[in-house]
Amino acid sequence: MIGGIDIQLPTMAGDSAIEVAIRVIRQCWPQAVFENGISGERYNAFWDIPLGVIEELFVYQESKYADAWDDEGAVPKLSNTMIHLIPEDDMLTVVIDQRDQQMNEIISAIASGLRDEILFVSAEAVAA
Amino acid sequence: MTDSTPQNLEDAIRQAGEGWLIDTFSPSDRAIDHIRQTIEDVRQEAMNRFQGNTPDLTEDSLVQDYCRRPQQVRGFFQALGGTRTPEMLLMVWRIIQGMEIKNVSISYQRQQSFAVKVILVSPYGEEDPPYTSNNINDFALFRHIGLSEIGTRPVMDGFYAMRVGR
Repeated sequence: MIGGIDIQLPTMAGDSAIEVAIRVIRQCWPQAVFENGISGERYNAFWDIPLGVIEELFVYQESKYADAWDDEGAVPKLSNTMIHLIPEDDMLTVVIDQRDQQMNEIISAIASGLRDEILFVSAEAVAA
Repeated sequence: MTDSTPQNLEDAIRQAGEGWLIDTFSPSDRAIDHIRQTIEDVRQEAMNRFQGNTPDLTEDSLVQDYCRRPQQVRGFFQALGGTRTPEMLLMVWRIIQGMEIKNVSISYQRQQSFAVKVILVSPYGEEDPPYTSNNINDFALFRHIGLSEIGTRPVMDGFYAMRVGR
């Protein structure tokens, strides 16, 4: 994303990292809608997101902000109404416009969720 | 795990790395039929609960969903191996689909009783009828639930597959 702050969160959660982030953001933005960062396809519901093939995802606070971003781009009045998620094998990059209380809370919650052992502890280790 | 498209439920289960669901079932040649019946029982539970707004949960839809979101469906496969309670399996599927966990109540008296009650809610505030169980084995499902904190506020959200091996 042009501009914005890249926050890189190391993770061993693999393919589940982006789901963790989406679920956290939804807790704060219950009306959130989503957009494929590569194809531009819009997803209005969590279950519509093809998590197995997503390479980048835009999460908009509400549908009206998704429309506004499409129309106006990264203008100041839309600051922090969209979060950009870029999952990689061992890193989740979260891009925001600027740090404020809500963004700090979201970032910390995502980091907290990614530390959950269910995401990277093997079944054998749990059974032992 | 291969990258080929699964042709059927057994393919999807094996590609997900959960072939043990089939291989450890006795007799193993009846395993898929048993799994199919369990999925049908969950679908019936969903129809009883939601009438006209039943979540799509069939053998074919599971295979299609596995292609689009393999890690999530893998979690459901693991739940299939851990519980036989249609109500709790439906709860798992609803969480995987995006319902949020509003409330969990657990009661346990050693060698006397176990009861769990879970309330799921959509991001828009619509609640499912409560999911309940008195089967102690269903407690194992909670090992799959994701945990986080927003500020200092506790959150249970998501149902995640356990990693198999490293």
